[in-house]
Amino acid sequence: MGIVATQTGKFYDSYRREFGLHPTRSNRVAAWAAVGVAFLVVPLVASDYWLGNLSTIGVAALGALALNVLTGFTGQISIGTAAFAAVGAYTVGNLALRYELSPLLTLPAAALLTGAVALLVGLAALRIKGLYLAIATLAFQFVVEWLLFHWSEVTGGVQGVISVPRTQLGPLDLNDPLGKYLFIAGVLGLCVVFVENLFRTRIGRAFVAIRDQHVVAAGMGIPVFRYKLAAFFCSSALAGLSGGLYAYYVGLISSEQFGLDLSVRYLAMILIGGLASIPGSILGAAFVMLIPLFLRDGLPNLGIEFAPGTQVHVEQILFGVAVLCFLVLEPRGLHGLFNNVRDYFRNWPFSYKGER
Amino acid sequence: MKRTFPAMAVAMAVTLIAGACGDDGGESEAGGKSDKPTVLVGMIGARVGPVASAGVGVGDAIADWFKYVNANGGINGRQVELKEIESEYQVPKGIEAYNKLKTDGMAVALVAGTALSDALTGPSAADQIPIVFPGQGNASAVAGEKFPYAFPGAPTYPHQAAAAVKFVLDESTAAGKSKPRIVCLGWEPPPGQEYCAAVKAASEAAGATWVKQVTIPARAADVKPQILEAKAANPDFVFHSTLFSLAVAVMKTACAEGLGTKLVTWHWAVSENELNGAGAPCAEGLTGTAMGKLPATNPAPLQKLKDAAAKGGYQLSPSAGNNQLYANGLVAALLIHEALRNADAKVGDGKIKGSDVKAGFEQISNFTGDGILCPTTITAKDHGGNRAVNVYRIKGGAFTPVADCIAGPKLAGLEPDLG
Repeated sequence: MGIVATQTGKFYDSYRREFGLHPTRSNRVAAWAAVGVAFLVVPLVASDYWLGNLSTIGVAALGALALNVLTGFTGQISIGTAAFAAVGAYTVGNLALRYELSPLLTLPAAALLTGAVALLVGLAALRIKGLYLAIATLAFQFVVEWLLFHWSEVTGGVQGVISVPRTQLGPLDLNDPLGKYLFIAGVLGLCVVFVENLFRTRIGRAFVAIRDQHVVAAGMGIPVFRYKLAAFFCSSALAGLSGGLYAYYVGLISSEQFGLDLSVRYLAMILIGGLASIPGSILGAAFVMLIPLFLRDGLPNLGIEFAPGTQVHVEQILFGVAVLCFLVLEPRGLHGLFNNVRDYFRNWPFSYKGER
Repeated sequence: MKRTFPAMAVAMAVTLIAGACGDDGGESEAGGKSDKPTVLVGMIGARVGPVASAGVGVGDAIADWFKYVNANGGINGRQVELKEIESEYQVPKGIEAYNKLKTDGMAVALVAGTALSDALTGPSAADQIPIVFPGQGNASAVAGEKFPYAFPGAPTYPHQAAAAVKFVLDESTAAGKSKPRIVCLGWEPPPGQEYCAAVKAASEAAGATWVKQVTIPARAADVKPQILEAKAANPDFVFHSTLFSLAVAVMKTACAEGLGTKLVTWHWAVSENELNGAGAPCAEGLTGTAMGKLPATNPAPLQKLKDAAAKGGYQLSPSAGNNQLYANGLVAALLIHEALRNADAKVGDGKIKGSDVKAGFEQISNFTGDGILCPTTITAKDHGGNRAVNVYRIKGGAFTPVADCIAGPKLAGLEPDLG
């Protein structure tokens, strides 16, 4: 049996291991450590403010994960993620407000309905690729924005707001910061496991094959259009879930909250975090959400303070520079950077040139 | 270069942790002149982004006002700490800012922008922290029993539109034309759409001839097609609900097409910056509404600020001298001040909580803020404050008041029926 190199200094010693959800011991330890930190340590030590920030990061990370499934893993560019999130958010909002349904029903409904909408859009949009697909998803973004303003039966119209009623899910009070955090972390965790598993299956490998070389994939018998549609469905369903979580997190949704800038931020998150990387989706979301806090609350500790209006300009410059730096210097993003650092220490004092 | 990234990441983490371990500032005193605990006023600003022109004027006025208040002994001896966090008019940032200010002990928050006030209406009720957004926000938020911690406090978009329609209709009737034709150029985002919907409803209610609405995309760079479409409808008045650079584009294009003097607009469209951008000749004849008395008329609160700055040897914010929207900010500041004054009277030397400020707002009765506001009354049922606006017209390149405290017809369906 051949030994297959995985992380530096770590090797698979069986096919079973190679195809396991967490193939190495360090993977398993890291996964359980993440679960422990997220569900045991954070609830004990984090203030309501940080629980709120982590919840925001969780919602954004799910949106970034959704985009990564489509763009990072399947190679299809989309700038309509916010529109799919809007479909999910309004589905949850309406079902919770009008029918008082539990999140256990509203969130799956949001995912399924958003996925169904994606199938309709994808039937037309996925026949084109590259820049044209990006423009098609941009068009969908604008169509949804228009609908949010004008489909008043569902959205309440231009000034419509949908208040998500106070919700209790078992022991979790979704109006309480801790309840919201645990709920969001739980859903994100399930989605992470789902995506990890997805790319261990034939379907996930077909997505990657389409990304790497769709002509060869077709030659191998993969029905490219069908799998692209499946990727679009999965990605959009996750984006819909992200929108649904947002509705529960904020408690109120309105038509201005799902604009093009949100879609662009999701793109920035996966570029910075790492394309085709599940941890990268989370790291990218955390980076984008935490940079403003670093500039506002961190820098003054170093004796540097900006006026509120100036700070956001610095932040925008920093984002631009960060995206450029990652594209040029570390295209695998923060997750790639993390791997480099880990490999450096694992092999210390020997040098190691990581895979580029 | 690659190795500098981990170093930067570590530096960021260390400084964030250091920040998290620092004093939360909740009990700090701005001036330390009294034993009363300081009250923290949060400002979730929008000095950058799509509504920056309004965000700067409002933010500067509020900062200047509370600086003046503190320098003059605070509110009944209680110092006010004003903490501003910029949101760029982005909802996630606005929520983070709100949570940060809540952690710091904020008793009331000024929120800049409809998207943010919408998003924060729910959390503010859950946390019992009033949010204030004069002259903006969702018209339904005036229903105090439904949204107990949301305080528009001043004319919302339907109120502004209804008052402006009434003004031009009265003027037109006096000039012998009883049913003027009205077109509205609606900025695509919700506030712009709501304004035009209200112009339509008010036109129909007041007896003007409503012709059509033409939508201006949120990110439009050129508005000539929309202006030409409006011109083709042969209007007597062209209302518009744009602001910032789009307002300049509307003024310049309307001027070029001969519609300049027919333009009518809302609270947030035009400051001196937009006037300069379009050029005084192009802005000539434009009619607009304002929540407060124009800075050009030197209302008493502004004069107080100027006198205090001269006496104290400091400068007011730059926008105090060149931004008509500064007066809208003063309106917001004075409403908050009055609510805090009422809350202070209630708690005495104690700490002011959000629920005290809510009660303070709901005690405001016939308040004019030293003459800068139209008479404002806020009750537990009606958080609208007042429905009246001041009307100005650009004459000779200057903002010239033409009518004070005009209110239009109530618009069923666009504003809640509060009896």
